Amino acid sequence: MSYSKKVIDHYSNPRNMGSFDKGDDEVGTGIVGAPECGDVMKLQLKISGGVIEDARFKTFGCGSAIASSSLATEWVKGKTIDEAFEIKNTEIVTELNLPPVKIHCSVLAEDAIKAAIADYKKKNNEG
Amino acid sequence: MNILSEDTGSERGHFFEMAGESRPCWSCQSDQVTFFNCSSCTAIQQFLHDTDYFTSFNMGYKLNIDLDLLEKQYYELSRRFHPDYFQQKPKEEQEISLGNTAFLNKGYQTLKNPQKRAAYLVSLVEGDDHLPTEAPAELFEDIFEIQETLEEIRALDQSDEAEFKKLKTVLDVSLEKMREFELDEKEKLHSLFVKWDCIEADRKGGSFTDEQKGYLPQMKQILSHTAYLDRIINDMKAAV
Repeated sequence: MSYSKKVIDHYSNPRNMGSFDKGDDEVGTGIVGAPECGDVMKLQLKISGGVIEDARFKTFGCGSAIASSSLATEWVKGKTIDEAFEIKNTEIVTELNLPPVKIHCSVLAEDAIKAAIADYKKKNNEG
Repeated sequence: MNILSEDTGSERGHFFEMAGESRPCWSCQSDQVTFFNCSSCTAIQQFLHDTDYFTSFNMGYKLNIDLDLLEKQYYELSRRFHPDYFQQKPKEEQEISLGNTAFLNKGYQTLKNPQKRAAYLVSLVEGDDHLPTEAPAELFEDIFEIQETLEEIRALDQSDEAEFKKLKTVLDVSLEKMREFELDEKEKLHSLFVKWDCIEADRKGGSFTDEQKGYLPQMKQILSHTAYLDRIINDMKAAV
């Protein structure tokens, strides 16, 4: 199996890699994992006035998992919480040209966004 | 009933009944065969391969087993088939002796270990020996932290002993937590063993009961967790 050009691009030049302070009220943190392969992904959103201002990720896993989370951080920036919540893993699959065996990596990224939003809402009593 | 209590009368054990029923002697075609050898031409037999490990070690399909008895059976059976005794025999017999010995070694290693034993039983019942490795969902945050620490340790300057010590302490705490989690999983597995054995003790031949089969998914999940935990615990140990 070979990775698509876009996966390789994200893998070699990951966007928004790193972390924010977990304790910051403006930061929502989502940590999710894929049971089958043990890949783990942390995605953080910096939210102000209902809009995602910035995002960071860190992923321990395969190229597709890294690329999916890297892409997710690019996509969520500038979106409202509600818009970001609507991002579907299938969009990530299409954009990155992921093969069937790697679809779970895109699911991971979608779950991470949702988990980060849930964490933010919980922190700010919006849940 | 002990299969090793020699070939006398009805006490011969289930192997002897089984052997005669399945196939005649490979060498002389006589049907006067025992589990170990042919009564007519004395050639060693390979009926072990017709059985599963539970049967060949005469342990029954039980999950909590007497390890001392298992070891005893293993030595006794190994002695009967040991390649040393077949050096002067025809090549075919040497090969069967080797094959039987390999079977016994693998069977002993499988039954000795509770996780391997359970996985083997699951594969027997379900006819599928693929067991996934699965990370327990509630541990992902810990796993992430562990991976982060492992990464920091790998990136560390070898001379920086103070930092290494600090990271090692962090990792040791996680390691302890993973071990505790694994221990809990093993205890859960053990209680399933007890339930399985309870029904198994009353089962009179035939196939496994639906209730027994109902325990298998839980066993599989625990086994996939322990497989994953073993892996990450090894990674952690290797790093420090």
